[in-house]
Amino acid sequence: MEDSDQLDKVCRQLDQLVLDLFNTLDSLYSEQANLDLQMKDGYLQMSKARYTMGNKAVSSLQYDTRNMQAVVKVDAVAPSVDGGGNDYVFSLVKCGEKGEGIAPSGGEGDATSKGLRHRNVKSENVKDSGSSDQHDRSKKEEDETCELENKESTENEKCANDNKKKSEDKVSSKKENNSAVRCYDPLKWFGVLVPQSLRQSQTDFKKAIETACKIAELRTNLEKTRMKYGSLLQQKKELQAEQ
Amino acid sequence: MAHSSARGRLIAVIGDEDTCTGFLMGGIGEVNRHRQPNFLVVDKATSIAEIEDGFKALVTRDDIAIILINQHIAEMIRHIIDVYTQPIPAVLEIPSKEHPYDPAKDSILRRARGMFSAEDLR
Repeated sequence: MEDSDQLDKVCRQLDQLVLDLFNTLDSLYSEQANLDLQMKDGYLQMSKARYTMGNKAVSSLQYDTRNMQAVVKVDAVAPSVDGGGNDYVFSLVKCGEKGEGIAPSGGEGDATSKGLRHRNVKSENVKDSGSSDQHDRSKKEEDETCELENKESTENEKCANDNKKKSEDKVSSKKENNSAVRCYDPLKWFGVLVPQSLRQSQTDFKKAIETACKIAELRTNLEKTRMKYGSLLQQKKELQAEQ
Repeated sequence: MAHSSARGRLIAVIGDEDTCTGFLMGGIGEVNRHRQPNFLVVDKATSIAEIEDGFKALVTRDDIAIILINQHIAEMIRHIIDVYTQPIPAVLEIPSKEHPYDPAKDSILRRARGMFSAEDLR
């Protein structure tokens, strides 16, 4: 009786695995079709760029192998070891994402943000001075507001100084990150002013990389399911032989 | 709940010139400290032994998570790809400019199809 219960359980698990397998296969086929389309578009746009730039302008001779660094990487994480180490999750890591939104040009974003803070402080001063010169009729009101501001400013100065120190520390740490992770555009191997078709080709291949990442995950899932199915099938045969 | 991860592994590519150029434009190309690239451009002059060596070299590197290979090139080294079963680096067969993708030739999909034999379904 126990054997038949266990056999039922194994059979149900097998059915569930087959359903999972077909779901995975379905999404694998659709992702593969996506990859086909993206790559086809990429090849077409690359051919167009070749037609514009010349046949030898887009080839392996233009690769800058001296300081070639990957802008796109993959995180391969195994959340569990249940599937015998076969269960991996692949996720793309782009250069800008790694250092909390680092600008590809290397530190421009931080410089501007720092500049903006200074500019705001200065602009407020400029506004204050400008308004006192230009608007004579509202002088009294402004004096009052200035007095209030002065009172507040003494309190705020301390906070501002602390904030400045903190922001400077943050900026320096971010700059270190920037120097560590420098992103560059591989499109520049082929020139500064490349045709739009080559840019489109690059976009298509970037999409293809994302799709390839999804396909890799689906394939590892498929392998995991296949192995589980094999072991359960073996178990089922043993149970049937016992009966 | 065990948790094992390797942050920022590479994507490697073995393919014809257009495929390699496209994916390198996408930003996957890297030449490491030992001057080993993570791509192999296969042209008419490349021998099967060179492709085999290139594939084996990429498979043994621990900083690579995915290997993209054109299906018509994978056909040349099918005997090696069929016996490769490691989850990392994952080997992906991709179409090329002149050869569209055929799922019937894909090693993993063939393995999946081989799961169901007539005996099992009785």
